[in-house]
Amino acid sequence: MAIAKEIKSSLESAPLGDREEEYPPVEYEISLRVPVEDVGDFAWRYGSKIEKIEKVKPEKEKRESEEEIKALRGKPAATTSRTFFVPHLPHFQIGEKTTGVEKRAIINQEDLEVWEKEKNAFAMLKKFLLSEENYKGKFVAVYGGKIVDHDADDRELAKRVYEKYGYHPIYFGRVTEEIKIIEVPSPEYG
Amino acid sequence: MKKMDRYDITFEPPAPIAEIKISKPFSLEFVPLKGKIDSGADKSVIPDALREIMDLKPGKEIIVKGYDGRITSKPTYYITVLLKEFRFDFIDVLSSDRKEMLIGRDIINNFKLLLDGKNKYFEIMDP
Repeated sequence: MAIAKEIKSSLESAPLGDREEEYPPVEYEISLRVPVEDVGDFAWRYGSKIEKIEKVKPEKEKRESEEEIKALRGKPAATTSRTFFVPHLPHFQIGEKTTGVEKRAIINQEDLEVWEKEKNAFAMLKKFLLSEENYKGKFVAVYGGKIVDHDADDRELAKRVYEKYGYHPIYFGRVTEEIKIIEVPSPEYG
Repeated sequence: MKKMDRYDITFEPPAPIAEIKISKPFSLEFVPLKGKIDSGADKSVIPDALREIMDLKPGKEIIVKGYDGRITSKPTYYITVLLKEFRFDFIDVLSSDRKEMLIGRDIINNFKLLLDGKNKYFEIMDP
């Protein structure tokens, strides 16, 4: 966790701050290596900014992390008007077994957070929707906290909504009190 | 002569594995992968890592019961699936930490499937 805190502090010191008028705003891309145990925490904070995740051996990992943190400290982004770094975090190949912490790193947290908000909006609206004949038993699409479309066929609905609003995290919920359980009994499903 | 596919004997026991291609909605970029035919699965499952690479967005939420009876809530992802001459648009699938895709009954029920386990052959036909 100590290294994650160092990285966080380096990232937070990157903006130009008081010298914003002197230097135009610059996009900062940070290249870092993070110990596996800190990946979950790091991905949670900077998930949307992670471009590439790369797995490295533990002994190499520690050395490079320290070097790169030192490099960041030695060259604060504010002194270079056009500094670009590329993020590197532990990467997991398709099918490679991952631990719980590592798994969190490969989930796009920003998408999930947006989608969770839409899901919560649906939960709040559900009681009202159940009382409306137009919606009852049908699927609704929630985007920006609002019901944007509905259909008895969720595939048709998804097609229409993604076409109209773009491919974003949009929540598709069925207006019903019934709880349907899907079975995937293969042990390897996980 | 009917076109039959061999079971993949690298699986123990040998399994019907189909070549499959998937893409995200409206995309023409298809990713090839192996799909294990699993008539016990209500819904198809793609590898977590592929979902991440393809940047799939969560869509529906479903309640899933696994082999151990554990019940969890999971997001699903709409994708396009190409299997043989069949194309399925906006199929919503689960994702999990696995190598190949699980082809569940949401896809299987759209065609005629012959599993000849004794001779290690399978065939996917248009009904």
